[in-house]
Amino acid sequence: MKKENEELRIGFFQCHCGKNIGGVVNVKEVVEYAKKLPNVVVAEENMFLCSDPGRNQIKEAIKKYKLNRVVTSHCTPTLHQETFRTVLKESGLNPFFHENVNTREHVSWVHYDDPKKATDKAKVLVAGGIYRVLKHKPIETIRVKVKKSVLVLGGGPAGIQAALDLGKAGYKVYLVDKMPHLGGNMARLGKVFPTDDCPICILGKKFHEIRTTKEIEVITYAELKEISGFVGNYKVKLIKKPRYVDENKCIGCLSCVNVCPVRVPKEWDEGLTYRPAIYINYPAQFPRVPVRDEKSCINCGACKRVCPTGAINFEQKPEEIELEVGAIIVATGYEEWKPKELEEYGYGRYKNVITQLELARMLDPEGPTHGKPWRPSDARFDKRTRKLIIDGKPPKRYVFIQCVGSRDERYFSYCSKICCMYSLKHAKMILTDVDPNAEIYMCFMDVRAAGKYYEEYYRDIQKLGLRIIRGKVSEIRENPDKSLTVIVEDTLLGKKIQLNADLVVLASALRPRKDARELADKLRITLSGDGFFKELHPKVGPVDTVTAGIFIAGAASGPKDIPDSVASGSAAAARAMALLGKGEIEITLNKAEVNEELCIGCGICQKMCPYGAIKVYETYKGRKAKVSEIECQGCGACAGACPTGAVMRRNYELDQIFAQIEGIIKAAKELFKDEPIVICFACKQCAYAASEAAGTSRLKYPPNVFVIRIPCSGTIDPAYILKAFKEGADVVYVGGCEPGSCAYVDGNLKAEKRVKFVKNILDKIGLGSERLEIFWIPAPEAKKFAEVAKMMVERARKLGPNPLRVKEMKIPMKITR
Amino acid sequence: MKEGVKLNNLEKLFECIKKIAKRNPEKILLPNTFFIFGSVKYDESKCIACLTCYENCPLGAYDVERKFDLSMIKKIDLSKTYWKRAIIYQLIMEIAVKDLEGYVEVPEGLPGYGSVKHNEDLCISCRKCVDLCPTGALSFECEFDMKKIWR
Repeated sequence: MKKENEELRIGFFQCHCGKNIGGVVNVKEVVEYAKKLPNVVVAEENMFLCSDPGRNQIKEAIKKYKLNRVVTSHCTPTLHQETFRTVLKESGLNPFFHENVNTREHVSWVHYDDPKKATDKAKVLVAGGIYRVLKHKPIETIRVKVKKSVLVLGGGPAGIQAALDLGKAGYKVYLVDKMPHLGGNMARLGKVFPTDDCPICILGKKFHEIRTTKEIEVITYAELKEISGFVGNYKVKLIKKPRYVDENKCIGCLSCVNVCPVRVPKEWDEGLTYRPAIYINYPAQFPRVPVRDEKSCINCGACKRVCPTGAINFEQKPEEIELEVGAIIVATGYEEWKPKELEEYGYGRYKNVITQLELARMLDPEGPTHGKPWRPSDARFDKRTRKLIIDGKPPKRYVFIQCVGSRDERYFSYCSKICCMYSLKHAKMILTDVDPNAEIYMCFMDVRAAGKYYEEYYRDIQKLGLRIIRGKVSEIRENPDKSLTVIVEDTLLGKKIQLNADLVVLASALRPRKDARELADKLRITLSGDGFFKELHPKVGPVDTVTAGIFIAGAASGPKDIPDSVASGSAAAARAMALLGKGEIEITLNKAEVNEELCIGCGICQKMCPYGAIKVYETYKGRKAKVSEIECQGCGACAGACPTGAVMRRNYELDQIFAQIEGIIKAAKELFKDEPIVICFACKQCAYAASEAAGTSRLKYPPNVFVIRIPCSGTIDPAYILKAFKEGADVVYVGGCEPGSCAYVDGNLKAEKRVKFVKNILDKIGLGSERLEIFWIPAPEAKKFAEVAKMMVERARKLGPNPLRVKEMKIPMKITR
Repeated sequence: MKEGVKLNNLEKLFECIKKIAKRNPEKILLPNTFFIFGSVKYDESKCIACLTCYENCPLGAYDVERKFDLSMIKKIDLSKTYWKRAIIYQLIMEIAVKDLEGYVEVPEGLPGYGSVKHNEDLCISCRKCVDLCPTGALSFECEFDMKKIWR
């Protein structure tokens, strides 16, 4: 802890990273340079600082030289900041007395062609880090007790797996499904690839396990109403819709289903078959309790009369259930897109054009034809017998069309991943079980059979006689006998082919659930550009979300097949266990903080906070803002907006960023004398990640761009920008996430407004708004980062030096505008 | 009184005063607890445009002015204003190459910069804004402008 008037002793450590840094940057020079900087007691180098010898070197230096601040210069903070913070902690120092300088991704990997300038840039960044660390303050961690229970939303294969893993590990699990039963979309498929076993049999085993695991409580026909609280202590309200059948009394005899006189199209079968008003979706469903559809019921009471246990109750009301859980797993799955907009295929217009999910329902052995497909134009509903009558020949010629909506810029640019496989599976089912002489044509762009046993599966089906055509279908016409003519552009033969078909089956795209946005808002998590839930990191955080304690599993985060869904369900369960396992969690207060002496209770921060974590309260000292440190996510939007400077984002405080700017520009003025100085404030979620990616892919850009890392572009304070200009920066720019993809809801838009305002000021005071810009640089767009950097340096050259810098250089001032 | 807010009782009272008043005094001083009369004073140099008054005024007597007065920066005593504002104003003064004059447009949805406009004709002197104002930019004067009656 910092004592009063304690002398600040900084240790500086430069890593070679093998040849990664040392091969370009003159490490000795950087170390010598660092020794001359204020308060630096010792400056050393190491081949691999993150290795055991490297870490021990730091520990020994801390002991030997009585260091109380440490600056390490190596790769990006995303990778090893935590490593060195731990070293400080182990040495008895507060971990936040450390600062990380990025001399790999920002220096050696992007300026490898100019070792001289690369070394200079490294020195500049090191100076920034050393000035900054002088202002660092200790940040404490607190311990919070957590509830050892988990809410799993969605009872598909991912949700079931997550619930079972958690339940068996001894956690209380609430498995919630909005359908009247579990199973998800998986239960609708007649068979599942690549082993062609029936999903009901697999699910049946899982249902049995759920039944026998005491810790799992299944709540079906329920939806999330609202959620409050924070990681480890969420309070959830569910609305359980009335099913009008008492789940505890029902014995699943289905007498009620058999007597019901009503018939309406069955949603579960995509409207291809008919169901009573009191119904079950599939015989093996769990729980095997019918549900009464209030809208189609004619209130005749027949079901009530036959029920042997008196379970049917028409007076049931929606029920509100309150739960307290430590974590939430979202496994809400996907929906099949109904390709009505794609007019060339005629779905919705021609009766015999169906989707693959509809074919799956026809092929289901429990269906009305016991797994034999029919032409929907031949089917009619007989009112007298209340049965589906199919008169007409079974279909003989099928045309499967792949990539309907998927990989199409007009609809869904992503690959739906499972369409190739389920189309092959359906072809196999028809050719083996239904009609070995059926003609099946599959029109595809590419067959993507990537997965264990998938390629073999594809080969098997080709041997069975599946005819494949590489080409896109341009038109479908209906003939008078309701058969269809399909015109395909065969790209391998280079000519048009005309096919006759009894049934055209579209492999329609998988899309996010329609209520995904609403659910994301409730849970305070984000959606990616395609509308699925966004993971924290596509590679190393595939089941985490931006909100701590909320995980995503299965197809809710993007199209997945069953093995992947199950794996991600287990992964999410393991992440939840890792979070809650100890019964308490450690929270580092690396978040917003209020200085009560400065706070005047104006409430601006409260308006800025997207999480409701900062609020103004009436206290005996007057109205003061207070941060709920557990709910705060640390974006710093409040700090950037606070007019008095009372609210600060810890570790990104005004004087810390000021010191970093001072350090960088002071050194840059000396080392980049005739060059423009460009400062970039980069959001660590996107623009900074893009700068890392630019390093990894060795994209060159001018070395006079100096990046300052901020937690979110919403942290940006007009003061930061003005300070950079005051110190002598020629051009400043801010890098934020694209609108709609901000990890903290809308920090980027807040930043945009502040930047716009400062631009207006710059225009009025004569500096010119061209010197300041904001860009949207998404994390994967390394190229864009490099291009923007180049562009801004060009602009700085064109605009000429900052007038203040000119004054200092004692060159006659010239405003080049 | 303008249209829009018609306070019949108040108007009647004004009529009575007009009738019985022998002379035409400029201003009269009222006791502090005397509501209804008196007026709100607005000091733009203290205002931080948090819009608390705008959001809480029961009659909508406040308008947001999306303009930031640059010339104000010179007039303010920086040692007396809030810490971060002083820093920002100081920085603006230091980097300015032109004289600080004119107004800077404030984008919509950016609190903290700009000012408000108080419409006295709509004000009923309930003092809610004055009580809530965190900066003291709004103050209440217990003087009643008799011109209002004679108008």
